[in-house]
This record gives sequence, structure tokens and C-alpha cells, in this order.
Amino acid sequence: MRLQNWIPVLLLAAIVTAEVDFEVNPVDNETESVQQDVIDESWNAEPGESSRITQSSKFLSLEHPIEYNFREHLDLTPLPNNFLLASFQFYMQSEPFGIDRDQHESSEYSHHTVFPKPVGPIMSQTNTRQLHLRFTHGLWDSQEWGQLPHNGLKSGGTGVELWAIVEAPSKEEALKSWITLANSLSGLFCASINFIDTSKTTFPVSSFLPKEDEAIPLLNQSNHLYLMRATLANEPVCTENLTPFVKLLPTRGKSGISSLLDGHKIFDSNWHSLSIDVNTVCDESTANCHFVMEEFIETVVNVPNALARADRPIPKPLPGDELRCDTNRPHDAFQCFPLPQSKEVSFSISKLFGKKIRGGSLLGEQSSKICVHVPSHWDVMIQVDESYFATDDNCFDLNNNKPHDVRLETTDSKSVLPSKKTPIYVSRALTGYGQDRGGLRSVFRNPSNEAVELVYFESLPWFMGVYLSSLAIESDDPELTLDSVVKSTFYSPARDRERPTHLERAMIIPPNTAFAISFQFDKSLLKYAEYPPDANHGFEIEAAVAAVLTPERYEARTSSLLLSLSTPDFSMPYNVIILTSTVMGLAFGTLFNLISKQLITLEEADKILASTGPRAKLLRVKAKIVNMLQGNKNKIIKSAKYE
Amino acid sequence: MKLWGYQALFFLLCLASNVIGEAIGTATHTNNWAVLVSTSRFWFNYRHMANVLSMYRTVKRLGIPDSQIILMLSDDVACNPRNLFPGSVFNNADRALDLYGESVEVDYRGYEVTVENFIRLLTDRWDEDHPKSKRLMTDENSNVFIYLTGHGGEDFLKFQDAEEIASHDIADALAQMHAKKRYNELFFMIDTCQANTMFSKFYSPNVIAVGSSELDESSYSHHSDVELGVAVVDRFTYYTLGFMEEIDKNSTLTLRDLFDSYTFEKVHSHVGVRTDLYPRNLSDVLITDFFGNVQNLVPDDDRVTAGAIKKNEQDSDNTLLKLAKAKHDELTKQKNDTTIPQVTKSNLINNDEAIHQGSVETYNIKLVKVLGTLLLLLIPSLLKYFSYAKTNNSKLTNFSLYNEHTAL
Repeated sequence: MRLQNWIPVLLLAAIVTAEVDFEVNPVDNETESVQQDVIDESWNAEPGESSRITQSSKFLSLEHPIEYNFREHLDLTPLPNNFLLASFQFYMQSEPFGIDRDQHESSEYSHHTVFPKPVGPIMSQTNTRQLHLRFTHGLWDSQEWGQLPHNGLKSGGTGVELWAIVEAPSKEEALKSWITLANSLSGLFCASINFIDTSKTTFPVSSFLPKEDEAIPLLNQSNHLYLMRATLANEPVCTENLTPFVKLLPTRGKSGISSLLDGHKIFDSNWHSLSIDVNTVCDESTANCHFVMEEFIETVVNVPNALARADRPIPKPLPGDELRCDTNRPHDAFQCFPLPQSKEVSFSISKLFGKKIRGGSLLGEQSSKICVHVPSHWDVMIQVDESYFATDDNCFDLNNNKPHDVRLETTDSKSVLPSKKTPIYVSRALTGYGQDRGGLRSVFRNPSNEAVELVYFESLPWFMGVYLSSLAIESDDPELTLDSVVKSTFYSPARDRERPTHLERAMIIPPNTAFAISFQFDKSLLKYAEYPPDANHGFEIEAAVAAVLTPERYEARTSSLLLSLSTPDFSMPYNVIILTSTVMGLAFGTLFNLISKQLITLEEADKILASTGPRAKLLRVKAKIVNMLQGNKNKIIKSAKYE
Repeated sequence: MKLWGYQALFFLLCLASNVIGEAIGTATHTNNWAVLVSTSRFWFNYRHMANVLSMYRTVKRLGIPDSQIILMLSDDVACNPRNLFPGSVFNNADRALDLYGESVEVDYRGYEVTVENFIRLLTDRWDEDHPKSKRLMTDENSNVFIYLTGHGGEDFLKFQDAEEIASHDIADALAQMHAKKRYNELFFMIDTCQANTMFSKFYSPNVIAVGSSELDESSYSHHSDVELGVAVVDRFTYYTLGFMEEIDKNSTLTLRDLFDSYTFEKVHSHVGVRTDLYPRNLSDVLITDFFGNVQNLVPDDDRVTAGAIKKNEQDSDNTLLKLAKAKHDELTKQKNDTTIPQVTKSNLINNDEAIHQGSVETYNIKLVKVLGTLLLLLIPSLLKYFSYAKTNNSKLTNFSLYNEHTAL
């Protein structure tokens, strides 16, 4: 190995030390010269005289607990009907970086502590200021379970949902960055996000916007901000997507609450959602920025099923002697009226998730936290080393790296904390039959006594030719008209293979009302190569989004739809038909020829040929030409005479 | 400085390993890559996914990192609603080993597994946005293992039940790989019906190929899992894995041993091996040459001696300081730069004219209806007017024509 190879390594080490100094000296933030001194001192390696050096060594020596910008939190919320919502929340922040765009070397000085290394370059390469990614599958039963966690802002529609705010000089540049971003994310998250192209991308105008008070930093004043969004509704969500989520965490699933994350348990659920939000936060005075990332992994498991799965991996019916029969009714070896599920529940999360929590993350300023949200008659305990502890607020800090387990017990699992009612119920369905046209019907129901103001966002693929003229409202209340409900509409019509239909409607749903809005559409024919291999399965239509503005901020999504288009028969019957037609054609053709054609002798044929054959024809043509030429000559002579 | 001592030691180690390597005459490859492809879609082809995941597990166990494995999974069986065991894929009815495990990185999945993508992957012809993790970034020192499984026939292999790759396509792709110096040695394994026809067209050097069945012969699945309701593994792959399970990173078993382990009684078809393109004797080729990850360190420049380094040490020390100083100056310059780039903040998102082009801000149906009725009312009167004008005109022209005619 050459000596030169070591220089960058050493250099980097020196620089890292230098950068660390910057951070641990928040007191000296007014002078840059002081910081410069620190650098000089640190790489001249003359410790002793400066107190700052000792301060900086705090980071490197690990004498004191590490305090990075990392926070993790586990919320366990029992839901009605023996369901349990587990919400793993991770918050992390990158080290500050300069925003000098021209000198890319500046990025060399940045180093990574808890912020995942692959995310930063993707963000800066594509000039992305905000990134939101959702992987969601399953059914959230809002009738029973109430509002989605975090007001629905952390979960997407079925499949993969991506939206981002990109800084770019023009729309075309923004689209280019967007495509690059989608491709990079596809590599990072093991999903087909690279299928996002212009035909799936919309530019939302009134939904998906950041909060009013949240201004997005612009690094170049002449640029604009573009918000783009796309969804892949047929994308599966599986272990290969969870793996990168875990690998992005500084704990990598080895310690802290992330040690519970196991694909087998997360995906053996009724509903699960993985989300990532990255924001760029800049300080205008120092021109320094940092990334803030929130990573949420949420799952709703059916507790009795999950516990049974631990004992019996194959969900078979219980053997007769284990059945709980209603003793007030006739019961014997052959008949049994089963009792409803027992209200008495006691379980530990190690049984639900298959393992214990491997202590706290021991990385952040705040220790890892577990909170269980239950009414008072539930008993919640944390188990460390065979001893159980309980707290008043049912929240536990994990301060060491011993295995932890949380135990939940109750005599009445039916009563859980009252869930917050959703302000609006929206559902959507396809109507009509046949393969050339159909309809789309969205039902809005506001059960509350307050009017609900919302933006209803729909993005439909180009192969649905929407007729907005057929927009109609159905309601029991004859007074309810489209105009009284839809305040304004943003409509960007689809262009074949280029962009989707994009509809955004600002609506007001009156209190205690239910109505449906419907419109008709045509189904287009695709080109042969555009059909997916399982075209007969149908085409997934992404969920519509209802973003409630008043009375509270809430986002609800409809389920995705399965649209069946007319598909050519790619397979066997098609080949069979072609083959049969060929055979039939051959047989029929021969027979037809035999019947319709005359049979004659050779002499006759010769005779006919002599008069009608090509030679005879040629002679006749020759005679005609000769005649014509002679005739022309005569004409010319004639005309000359007249003159 | 202590570091220099370490460095010298490291250098010597490198030199030693190189010398030893040359003396033993081991393979010249420095890195290992694996391309594992399952080509069939749909739940009933579970066994093809299981085949490929078993291979994935094997190469990963033997040391090829995830970043050097390109896994193409044509369908999602692990989280398929029909899967009794969500998040798990098994290759045996005893379900002792979950192939999906806790961490798996699928590079191409679902609709991405196409003939085009497979050939692009081998020849590395992508557009600029293609992420690195989905590329086969091999060089002339790479040993590449390619494993394909699916449904096939004579000289073709079906992808996704929708398209086919021909044996000529793969042969040409390998030729291009060779021309581009994208492999040192290549091991091609295929488990499909009439598999041996798939490598019959190969013509690039240093390629060794093995297939599960000869022309006009089917490959069979090994056994089914009653609870899952599908066959879980193919015979050829099953016995390959059985052999591989006994291998660890230091194994001295060779490809000859592997090929000898296949018998008709086990596989129920005639396993074919193609070696005419391969210069080395099979009994000299370690299995770990393709399945493991050998980290042979080759010094950057073997002419540089330890003495030269020592001589340069003082200079380098200075150079290092100089470089560091330069870097530092640059940094401070940046910091002191009076023209600090300005960060502004904006709330204006999607304010571009282009986005609003062609959009209707308030779509007034009433207005459209009124305009429509007006238009409808206008049409008859307009038609009347035009038809009247037309008759007049025709009369007029007829008249003039008549005039002209009479004038003549």
C-alpha cells in the first residue's frame, strides 16, 4: 500500500475532529476566529492548554454518555375488539452543513452521526427540500378504531406513496430531479419506485402542502419550489422494504425499540404503515442547514391471533377439548356453542413481537421511551431482569442495555381509551359494467354537527377518460347541489401516456349529511406492450385523499380500486383460435377452389392461352399502340389543315 | 508515528499474500458477484421464488455481501395474501429454515423482472438515473455466478409468463460482457425444463455452465408443502442446496465434486455440464471461487518496495501537513467568504404557470349548460340562414353559367 492512500484517511479524521469542535462550542458561536483556533489546535495535536480540546475529546473518548440528535419512542395503544396499535417512532437530525452550491468539496466535510448516510446525498443531488415516503397496506377500520394515528398524516394509501418538494429553475428541471429521486429511492428501499414517470406524477396545488407556518428554504433565489406526488398502488410491502427502514436507523435493529422490528410480525397484521419524512431546515442568518428525519413504523395486530400464532404457527381450528363452550346451552363431544372471546387478557410484547427489547438505544439526548395508552383498569408493567416496575403514566424510559419486556393485563379488554372520531368518512367505488366505460362514485359522510371543510384530491391514470360533464351529486336532501358542496375545482385533464387526470376539489360537507359525487369515464385500450404480465388481474387505481382543513387537520384516504380493462387474450385460446382458423382456411380454400374452378384439357388450355395468354395480350397491346400512333399522326395533319 | 508502523505491516502483509497467491496459483479474481433470477410470476410458482431465495441465502452465507448480489424476484410470495406464513418463504415442508428471514434486499421485483432488464443488467447499459445498488458493477477480476429458474423450453426461458429470453440472447449478452471485461470467470446455472439448451449457444471464453435437464426433458419439483398447497422446491436446486449446506468458506470441495453429486436417481433428469469454454480443470476449481467471497488483496503497485516508502516517509509527512493545511485554508476561506450564499424561504409551491395551464379553476356547470342551450337554439336558425343563402347562391351561379353558355 502506498503512503498516499493514507493521507485522505488522516485528513478526514482531522476534519472530523475539527467539525466536532464546531458543534460542541455553541457558546462561541459569534466568532469564527475562535473556531479556527480550535481547528489549528486539534490537528497540531497539542492538547492541554485549551479547555476546548478537552471538551471536544468528550465526543471521542466516550467517557460521557453520547448525546446525538436521536429520539425513539414506542407507543402501544389497545384498540377495540382486541387489536393493538404499535407505533415505532424515530426522530433524527443531521449535522449542519453549508449550502455553498458551487463548491461541492464542502460536502466532504460533512460527516454522519445518527442521520442515515444514503439520504443526504439523494436530497442534495436532486435539490429536494422535503421528502415524504409511505408504504402502507391493510385496512384501517375507522368505524371501530377512530382516527388514523397522527391525524392520518403519517400513513399513505395502499402501496407506495411519494411526494417531495424540489427546488428547480423550471418545471422541466423539477421533473428531471423528481425522476432521479424516484430512481434513487427505488435502489434504497427495494421497491419499484422507479416506475414513477410523468404519466403518474401530479403537481398538487392545494393538498400535500406543508403547514402554513412552515416555509421551505430556497438555496437559490431565482429557483422555484415544485411539489410533486405519485403513487404506486399495486406495490407490495414486505420484509425487503422493512430491511432498509431498519438499516437507516443508527441502532440498526440491534438495540433500542427497533430490536422489536421483525418482518414476520409487522406484516402479519391487519394494517401496517412505514413512513419517512425528511425536511430541510435552514438558518437564514448563518446559511447553515440540516436535515430532520422522522421515521414511523406502525402496525395493528389482532392480539389473540398473534398470541395463538406464537403457540400454533398454522391457524387450525382448536381441538374439541380446548374449545370454550357455553355451558348454559347443550354441549357435548359433538356440539358446542362457543363463548365470545375472553375479556381477560394478559400478554407481554415479547410474545407478540417474538423477542424482547434489547435495552435503550443509548444514543440520544433523551432515552428510548415506551408509552402504553390504556384506561386505569389496565395494568402495565415493564420487566427488567425478572423484576417488574410500573409507573403512573404508563411510560417507561429505557436507560440501560438489559433486555426489557412490557406486560399488559386487564380484566376487561373491551374497554380501551375512547378513540377520536374521524371528522369525515369517505369511500369510493367503481360503478357500471362492461369493458368500455364505467363510473366512479365517492361517498362523503359527515356524522358530526359541524361542517367539514376539505380538499378532495384524485389522480386517475390516463387510461380512464374522465367526463367531467357527467359530474352529478346524489343525496336524500334535494337542496344539496354540486355548487353548494364543491367550492372550487382544479382540473388538469389527462394526456395519453403523458400525465394523469388531476382533480382537486375544495369542498364543504354540511353537518349530519351524506351524499355521493359520481362521474363517468371511458376505458382506453392499451398498446400490446403496455399490458402488465397479469393484465387480467386488473389495474390498481390509487386512493383518493381527503385532506380535512376544519374543524381539525386530518387526512383520510379511500381504498384503492381495481379497474379491469379489456385485455387481449395473450394465452392459449388465442393461439388455438389462430391455429384453427388457419386449418379451416386451408381446408375451405382447397374445397372452394375445387368447386368453383373449371377443369379443362391441355389442348383447350393451349387454345385459350393462344387467345388470352400473355403473348396474345402483348400482341394486342402492340397493335393498339401502333393504331394510336397512326391516329395521332392523322389528327395532327388534320389540325394543321384547319389552321 | 505509530500509524506508519501499521502501514508498513499492512504493506508487508499485502506483499506476502500476493506472493503466496502467486505461488499457490489460486484464482485471479478479486471479487465475487451473484445474479439470482426467478422468472415466473404467480403464487403457484412459489418454488421458483424459494429456489432463488435458497441460492441467495447460500451465497450470502458463504460471504458475498448484499451489495454484490443482484436478486430478481418476479413476484411477491412472502407477503402474498395466500401465504399462510406472512413474511416467510420456505424451501422445505419441514419449514425449519425461513429464507426470507429478517433482512433481505430484493433489487428487482415484480414487473421489473423482464428480459430487457436482465440483459441490461448483464451488459450494464442503463440510463444515468439507474441506482448503483441495482447495477452489476463487475470488472475483469470478478467471478460472476448467474442462477436462473423458471419455466422454459428448447432454447427459451419464460419471463413473467409474458415474454421469453432465447438462448442466443444470453449467449450474446455474455459475449458483450466478455468484450467489456465484465467478468473473469462466469458460472451459469439454470433450473428449468430443457435447461441444457439454454447454454448450448454460448461462445464466450471462461464460462462454465450447468443445467438441470437435457433437450426434450422436464425438470421436476421435489416435494410439496400441504399447508402451503404448493410445491416448495425443484429437484435440481434441492440437491444443489443439499450439497452446498456442507460447504463453508474454507471448503476445498471443487465443482467436479458438485457435478458428480448429481445423479439421475436424485434429479430425475440428466444434468448437463458445459466445460468446453472453460480452460481450467474442474477438479481444480473451488466451489467458493463462485459461491464465496474471496478477498485477495492485490497491492496497487507491486514495484514499490518498503524501502522506498521509508525514504518517502519524511516527505510524505510534510506533504500530508501541506495538504491538510491547504484543505484547512480552503475551509476557512469558505467560512470567511463574504459572499455567504443566502438562504431564502418560500411558501410559494407549485406556482408555476405551466402547472395551471389547461386547468379550470372554477368549473361552472351552470354556465356551460346555459351556453350549450344557447348554442343549441342558435344552430337551427344558423342552419336555416345557411340553407337559404345556399339556394340563393346556387340559383345565381346556375344563372350565370346559363348566361355564359348562351353567350358562347
